[in-house]
Order: sequence, then C-alpha cells, then structure tokens
Amino acid sequence: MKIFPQKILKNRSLSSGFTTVAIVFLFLLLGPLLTPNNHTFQDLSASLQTPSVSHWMGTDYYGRDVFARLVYGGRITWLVAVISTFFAVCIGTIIGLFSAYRGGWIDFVVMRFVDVMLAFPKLFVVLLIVGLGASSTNLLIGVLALFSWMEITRIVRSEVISQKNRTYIKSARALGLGTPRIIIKHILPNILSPVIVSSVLLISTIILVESGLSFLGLGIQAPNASWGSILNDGKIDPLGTWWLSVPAGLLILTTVTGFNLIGDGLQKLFDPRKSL
Amino acid sequence: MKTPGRTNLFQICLSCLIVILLSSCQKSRPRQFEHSDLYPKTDHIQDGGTMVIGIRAEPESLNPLFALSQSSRNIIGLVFSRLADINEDLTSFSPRLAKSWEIFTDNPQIIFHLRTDALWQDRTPFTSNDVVFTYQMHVDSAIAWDGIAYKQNISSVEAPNDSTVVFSFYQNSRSMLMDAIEGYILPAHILQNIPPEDLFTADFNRHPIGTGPFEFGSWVDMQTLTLLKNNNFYEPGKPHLDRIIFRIIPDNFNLLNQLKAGEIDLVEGIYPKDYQTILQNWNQGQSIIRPISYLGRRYDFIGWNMIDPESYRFAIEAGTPPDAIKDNLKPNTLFGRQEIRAALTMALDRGAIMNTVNFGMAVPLNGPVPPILASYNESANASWEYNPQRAKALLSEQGWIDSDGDNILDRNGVSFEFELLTESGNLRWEQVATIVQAQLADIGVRATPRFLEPALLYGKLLPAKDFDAVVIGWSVGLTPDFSPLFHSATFFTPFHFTGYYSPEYDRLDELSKTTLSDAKAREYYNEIARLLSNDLPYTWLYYRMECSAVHSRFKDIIYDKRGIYINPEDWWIPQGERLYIDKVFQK
Amino acid sequence: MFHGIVRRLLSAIPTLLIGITLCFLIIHLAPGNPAMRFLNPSQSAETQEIIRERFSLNQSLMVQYGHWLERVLFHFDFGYSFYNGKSCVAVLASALKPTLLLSFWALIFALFVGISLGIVAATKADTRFDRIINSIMMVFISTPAFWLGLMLIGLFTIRLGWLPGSHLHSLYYDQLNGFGQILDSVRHLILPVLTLGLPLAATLFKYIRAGMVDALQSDYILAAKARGFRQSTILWKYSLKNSLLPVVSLLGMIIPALLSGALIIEVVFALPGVGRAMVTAVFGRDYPILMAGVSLAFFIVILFNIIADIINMILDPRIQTGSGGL
Repeated sequence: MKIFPQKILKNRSLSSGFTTVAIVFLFLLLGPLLTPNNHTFQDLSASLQTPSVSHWMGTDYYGRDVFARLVYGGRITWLVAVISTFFAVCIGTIIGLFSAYRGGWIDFVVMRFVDVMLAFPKLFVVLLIVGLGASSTNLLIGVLALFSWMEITRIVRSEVISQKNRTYIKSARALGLGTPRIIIKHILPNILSPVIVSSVLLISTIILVESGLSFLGLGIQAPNASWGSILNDGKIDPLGTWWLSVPAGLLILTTVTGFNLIGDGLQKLFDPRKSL
Repeated sequence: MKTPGRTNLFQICLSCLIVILLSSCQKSRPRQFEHSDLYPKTDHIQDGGTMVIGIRAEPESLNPLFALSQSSRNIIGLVFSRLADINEDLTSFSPRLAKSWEIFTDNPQIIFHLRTDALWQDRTPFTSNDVVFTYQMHVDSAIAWDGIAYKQNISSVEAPNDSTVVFSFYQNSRSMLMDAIEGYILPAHILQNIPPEDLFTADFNRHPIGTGPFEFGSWVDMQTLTLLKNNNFYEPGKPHLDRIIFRIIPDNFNLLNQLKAGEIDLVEGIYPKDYQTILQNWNQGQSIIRPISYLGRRYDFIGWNMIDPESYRFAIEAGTPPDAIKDNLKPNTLFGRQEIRAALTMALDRGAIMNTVNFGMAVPLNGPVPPILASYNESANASWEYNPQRAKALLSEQGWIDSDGDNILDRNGVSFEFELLTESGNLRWEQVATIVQAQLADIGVRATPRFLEPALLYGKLLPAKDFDAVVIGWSVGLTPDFSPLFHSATFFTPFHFTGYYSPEYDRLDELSKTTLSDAKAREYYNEIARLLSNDLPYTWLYYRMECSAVHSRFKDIIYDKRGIYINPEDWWIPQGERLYIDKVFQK
Repeated sequence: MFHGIVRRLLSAIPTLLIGITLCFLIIHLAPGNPAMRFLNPSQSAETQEIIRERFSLNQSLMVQYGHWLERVLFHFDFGYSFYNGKSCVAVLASALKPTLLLSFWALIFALFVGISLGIVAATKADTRFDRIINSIMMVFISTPAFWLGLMLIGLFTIRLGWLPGSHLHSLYYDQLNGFGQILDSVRHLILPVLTLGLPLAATLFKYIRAGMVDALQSDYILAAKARGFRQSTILWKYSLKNSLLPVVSLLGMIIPALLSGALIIEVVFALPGVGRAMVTAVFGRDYPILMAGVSLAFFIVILFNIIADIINMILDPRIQTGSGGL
C-alpha cells in the first residue's frame, strides 16, 4: 500500500495528531535541558510553592520541582505505554498468526482462551494484581500487556483467515514455499495496517489506564513519578494547588488526543471504508 | 477555508484553561470571624445539636472485646462506660460506674461500690453481675481480648451483692487499680447466652448496648454511623448533644474539603502541613474551624538490627534451642557495636528531621519513656547531640575509614552500606528515610531507602530479623512497659526485631513491675532510660503531636494526652451559633 | 436460534469458572499476611497468636479453593469480611445500589447525548458545526475521567459551592420530604454522572455519527430522497434503525468500561459503591471481599455480553455464532 506524502498532509487528523504528539515528545526529550532541577530532590522548606522563576511549575508537598516531575513522569508514562503496547502486539500477533494458521481445534481452544481473557473485568483484575503484588514498574508493564493483546489477536486472526484461502497463497504453497516465508512475505504486510492502527489506539488506552492506577496510588510508586501520580498529589486541593492538578491532566489529555488523532488518521488512510 | 481540527482543539483547551485559571484567581474575600471561647463561662448550657465527625475507616466492630481500630474505639468510648476513667495525671481515676473503691494491700483486693442508678441503654439496670461477666469475657481464651495482659494478676472477681464487686489479686502491685478498671463493661443479660466462640459474628457487634452517654442509632454501611443521646444516662442533664454522626470518608482530600466547607465538624489525624494552614486561618480570624493539638501517643524511630541476620536464620533453621541462640548471638557486622550506633545517631540532625517532616508538630525524643508519662525524665536520657565530626571520628576509631576514595567508609574490604527499610505509602516515614540517607551520606555511610508493603515488612522481614535498619513508629500505652520490645522473654516475637539482649534490662524491667513504691519505680524507669538511651537499639527521632480540628460552635471540649473524647457528655452548642444541621432533625 | 442461545449460555460457564479460579490464585498467592494490620506490641503474645489464627490461611490452596467453591455454588455463601466479619454478600449487596445508580444514569446520559448529537452531526456532516462537535467529543474521549471529576469538583464544589462533591445524599436526607429527597439525590449525582457519562457519550457519538453518515449516503436513502420522503422520515425510519444496531453490540464493550470507570469515579467522589469497596479491600487485603467482588464483576460482564449477543442474534439472524467467531 503506497502512501503519498500529499495524502498525509491532507489528512487532517493525521497531521494534527502527529504535530501534537511531536510537541509533547519534544517536551519530554528536551525538558531536562530546560531546567536544572532534579525531579526527586526534596526541599521541604519550599513545599507547595506557586510557579516561579526557579520552579517553573511550582513545587509539590515535598518541595520537589513539578516541572521536572512532569518531564520525568511523562517519560515513564510514555515508556510504560509504549513497552506494554509493544509486548501486547507481539503476543497478540504471534498468537493470532499461530491460531489462524493452524486452524482446527487449536484455533478453537485459543479463541475460547481469548474469550476468557476478554471477559475479565479488566480494571478489577489489574487492580488486584498491582495492589496485592510487589509494587514494581515491570509488574505494571507486564500486567497491562497481559490484558491488552486480545484485540490484536482478533484482528490478526481475521485477516489471516481471510487471506489464507486466497488463490495467491494457495499457489505459493503449491510452489513449495515454506510456511514462515509465506507468513512473512505475504501475510504480514497485509495485517500491518490494522495492527498499526490498533497499536496506536492501544497506547492511548494504556496511558489512561496507567494514569488511573497511579492516581489510586497503585501504579508508579514514589519516588518515581508519572502524570497520574502527580494528579494524586494534586487531588487534595485541585484548584488551590492548580499547578499540581491542571498541567498533568492537560498533558495526559493532549497526548491521548494526539495518539487518537493519529490512529483515526491512519485508519482513514489505510481503509477509508472502516473509518469512523 | 477549512479550519484545521487541531486549532479548534487547542482553542477549546486554551479557553477551558483560561476559565479555570480566572475563576481560581478570584479574590477570595476573607470574611472576618470572631474567636469564640472554647470554655465560655455561663450557667445556661443549652441542650440540642448535632456533631458530624469524619472518620477514615469504617469501624470493624462496636464490641469492646474485638475492636482494634482507632475509629471503632472512639465510638465504643461514647457508647460504653468503665468502672472509672483515668485522670490527666495518668495515675488517679475519676468515678464512672463505680462510685468509690477501697484498695487493700496485704490480702490484695479492691472493693468497688457501684452506682445503683445506672441503666443499660435497653432500660435494664446495671448490676455487679455485669462486672463479673465482663471479667469472665476478658479472660476467656476463645475471645482473646487484646487487653488480656491487664488481667493476669487478678485471681478472682466476685459480687457479694448487686452494688459491690470484689477484685482479688495474686500479688500486691502498683497497677492493681488500672488492671481492674481497664475494659468497658458489657451487658451480661444480653451476652451471657451466646457461646464465646460465636461472639465474633454476633449481631451485638453491630448493634451495641452500653451504659454510656450516647446510644447506638443506625449504621449505613460505608457511609454513616449515628449515635443518639442516651436519655437514661446516669449523669442527670447530660449529654447535651442530640446526636453524633460519624461520616466515613476514606480520602484525606474529601475529609479536609468537607471540614472547610462546614459539612463535617471534627477531624483527627490531620496531616501537619494542612494543620498549619488551618492554624494560620484561625489565627487570622478567617475561619471557624478551631485547630486542636496535643501530645499524642506516637513516636517514630530508626531500629537497628543488632544481630547478624544470616547467623540468626541459620540457627533457627538448625533448630538451636532459644537459650543457646540468645547466649551465642553473632553481632551485626555494621550495627553490632554500641559505638557505631552512637556514631550514626550523632551523624543525624534529628531536630531538622523532626521539624521538616512534622512541620513543627512534634517534640524531640531521646529515650524510651514517652513525654506524656509522669515517669518521663529527660535528664536520664543520654544526649547524642548532632555532631557529624564526632561521628566520623568515632567510626574511624572503630576502623571505618574511606580507604579507596569512593566517599564510602569501609573496613577490611566491606563498605558501610545498608538498606533502610520502611513502610511504603507512609509519607512521613518515607521522607525520614530520604533525609536520613542524605545526612548519612555526608559522613560516608551509604543508606539506601527501600519502601515495602506493610504485609511484607511486618509479616516477614522484621519477625525474621532479616533486615539492616528500619524507620518505623509505635504508639504507646499509658504505662512505660517496653518488654515486648526489649525483654529477653520476647526475643523471638515479631516486635522485638532488633535482637536486643541485655540481662541488665531484664533485671530492671522486672524490678520496675514488681516494686510497690512509686518512687522506687521512678528510679527504675530512670535506670531503664539511661540504659536504653545509651545502648541505642533504637535511635529515637521525635514524638508526635496529634493534629485535629473542630468546628468552633462546640464548647467545653476537654482535650489532652488522653485524647479528645474525654468528656463528650459535656459538649454543647450555644443557641446563637447553631446551624441547619443542628435543627433539621426532628426528635 | 434457540440452539444458539443455549449454546451461548453454556459457553459462558467455563469462562466464568476459569476466570474466577485465576483470580482466586492471584489473590491468595499475593505476598503478605492480612493479620498484620491488627497487631501491635502492647498485645500479649497469646492474643497475637489468636489474631493470626483468625486470619490464618494454613490449609493448602487447593483445599481452600475447594471449600470456597463449594460454599459459593451450593450455599451462595461468599464468606465473611476479614475486616468486620460482615457477610460479603451483604456488603456487596449494599454497595451495588450506588454503583448501579451511577452507571445507569451515566448510561442514559451518554445514550441521550451521544445519539442525539451523533444524528445531528451526521446530518450536518463536514460543516463547521460538525467539526467543532467532533473536536469537543475527541477531547472528552481523551480525557482521563478522574481528572475531569477533579476539575469539576474543584470548580463546582470548592470554588463555587453549587454542588456537593461527595456521597450520595446529605446527612439529613431522612428528614426531607419525597421531593426534597429526589432533589438532594440529583444534586449529589450530577457531577459523578457527568464525569462518567461524558467520555462514554463521546464514544457513542463517534459510532452513531459514523453509522448515520454511512446510512445517509447509501443507495436506498438516495432513492427515498428521490421519491420525496421528508428528511425526518428518512432519518427516523431508515437510518436510525441501522445505526442503532452496532450500539447494541457495543453494549458488550460498554458495560465493562462503565464498571471500570465507575470504580475510579467512586473513589474520587467518595461514593459507597462496589468499586470503592474493592479498592479498600485491596489495600486492606480483605480476601473474601475481593473474591466476592471479582466474581460479581465477572458475572456482570459475562451477563451483558450474553445479552448483547442474544439481542444481536434476534435482530440480525445472520449472526448465529458467539463472540470471537468470524
């Protein structure tokens, strides 16, 4: 599927989405260069200060620089989201390919398993695992990935099944091409587009879920930050200490909007029929 | 011309932000309030009114035998009574259900003369039978009342008639009266027919009947618990309030906001930083929320592991008998020697820690005896002033020097580094650990804070003595009894995690408990304070003040180190200060 | 079709069992001992031992699970809370009402706003109005619900004092007359329902609008227009029905999202619902409540999936298989 540059530019969602995400990304990348402050350094005599020249976004209860925490917290939020999505996509693709290609009872069992996983009331169970287990970022990433791969599997599987019986595949098989080659050369390119769209939307979903968990006190633990945990600090006096509650929320909103716009835009690009 | 979607988006976000910022920048018109007196001198005390108390956790049970959480105990104190209540000096008592008593020392006995006019909240008369029954419940092993230690010295409790109870003791001791009185009296006529094993799930736990000033009204799960005025309270004309409503608000954020909005009237355990704000607003006459603070019951400290965890674990697994373990303890490589612990204590600016972490709401603590007790004697405590130079010198005398220039002390190839554990989620302790890390780094000691779930910390690591050092806090009882922490008899129990073993301590501890003279007891406590503050199994950090706030319309609330629920039957609201909530309930 | 329904119901049972078993494992393999919060040094050693016994989980996991399953299946007895000894069924039953209240009204709100705006936007597709609404809805989809709630509380409760920011009703609720009670409840529900409903409304809006746009451009609509049917008839009779169909199948996706969303909203607004009970139980390691709550959540999710599938089957006989099929 060839993509022309003009198509990208004319696709409003895509361009505005990319711009938004790029801006936040730059902020996260260059943030540390803009401020000398460390995001974990506590200066209790300077707690809860409004934004000033020395602290661009003020300080929190422990006197930590909020601007720095927004930058580092954002990095952690993005990292967790991207890594979880990556794992979810890998797992989902492999399972989907395997299940669809094998077919038969293997397919049946796998899809039943997907049903069970989909039936999990996601937040409840993630809450359980993260709340009861040792608090660690790796656990968080693992759990988020564990509950996100199902959609990818479904998409991959349905694409593969629809492709499996197409003539060109059959002829490739008849020519004696091995299964891995068929998968890589012919099937993967076709499932690439819906998987990419799903992954982008998955990133934004995971950002929201992780923020929610951190807000409850269960996600990213101190002294590390995440946008959600900064909001947790800010909830005591949402408007009084607005520098704690408003910027983090706006950052989440902006990032998620950006990724959603990209996802929508890609959807329109790849398959205008299915787009919303 | 097509308007790009993004511009609309940003416009919307921007305008929202501006609206929010503008509304928050509104000049908050500071209203001026007059400070009303907490103890107005007046003869006209008016009846009526409602108090709404915000609590963080739902009570687990309203039965004095089982309740363990603070909120349960507060409510129970309003519904039930004891024979007598302790006075502010923490040694004498005021009569409650018992009008008077006589103490006999040769054949140790206490005879209580009970009130004859007290009624249970179901109108049944209170008699001596209830006291006897309560004692039986207290010592019943199926119930495992958590105050059972108080009753160990009691040999029997008998009731010669309806208004007299005789407590007999095995041995004469200074704490006989306290032992007899501890524990709220339970209604025999309701509970005696329930087998003790079934009491834990009995309906009584959720619908209690007591003799106190307030009786149980209603309980809506996770929301509110209402107590109503007991019209048959044995003190005539009291209580004055019509009802007390406990509102369950798990979130600090909601709790404080409702307090400020006047939707709840009393909150305890306010975070010191927020308390300072309340204090400031009150002093500037801008608020009707009265700040209340007093020396509480809790202190924080650093606990050092004095023994070597590996050898301890090995000995336990090998099945070594307890006495052999205690006599052959391998001291901890880092903290085994008193000189090291002293050096580390001197390396800490405990005053700075205290002030920054508590925002001024704490007092210094240098030894085991809490400042609220009469036996507290600061001069008995060893003084370890902040002196990092001296600390470094002391450490180098013990062989700890920085031989490889990495800014960490070492000795025989071992670096002075360790993990400083504490409970995750406890902000105060986490802060302390972080500050301690920074201060110790200044003298070349590397402490790494590690925040753990309470279940892991208290359930596994501390009981197994598998740790280096820990930042933690205890709450204190009303007597200076440190045996669960330091006595050799408790060596293998979870709370005695430092591995402290001192025959001298054991001797002093036993003497302090068995002596019959108050003066001698004080001497022994001084000795104990001297011993422990020198041995330093703990580095005591500070003693916390309780921070609470109450709506200023409530009068005659007495508060001190005993807490804030000392005289709820006296609380009242002047007619002129009443609010909607005080008038809305129909009788 | 009857066969289809029966098959659908039967296939749900193993799903439910497996899910609950996995949760049991998770809960009981978690590190730590729930007894610790009740112990303190001033208790005697015997007392400590007995308290530990009370919470002790000495028996093997299999045995515990067997007992639990047996009690649940045959007696509907989910055990008693570690914290206060109350029956789990009673605790969750009383917690269910606020959650259902919140979810129900949020759903109604979302359906109303999402569908009506979706239709209007579809008819005015690609106009400025449409683009503005689209942007606004995009923002609501991307907003973290708890942040929205916080901002609303900050503005309407703290700053302006117009609406209460927590609980379901005031303390003197029982003293009000019927109308007063309704008004009181409404005042307390406005902010939570808005917080939960707005993101949902935005999602519904997207789907409805897309479906309507498609429908409006299809051939038979064109033919209807050519034949002179009025705009409103076209809208109602033909397009709406077709675009509502995906909403029904969306129900299976919406309900779990509602549950999860309600959980966080309940914490933010201090509503005594199932979500808040669960969060409290997680922090307090109250295992029986956790198992009961998770079972309840599973049950609700599976139930609504089945309902959605059955409705689908009825409305569109072409679809006979369960979820996950092609």
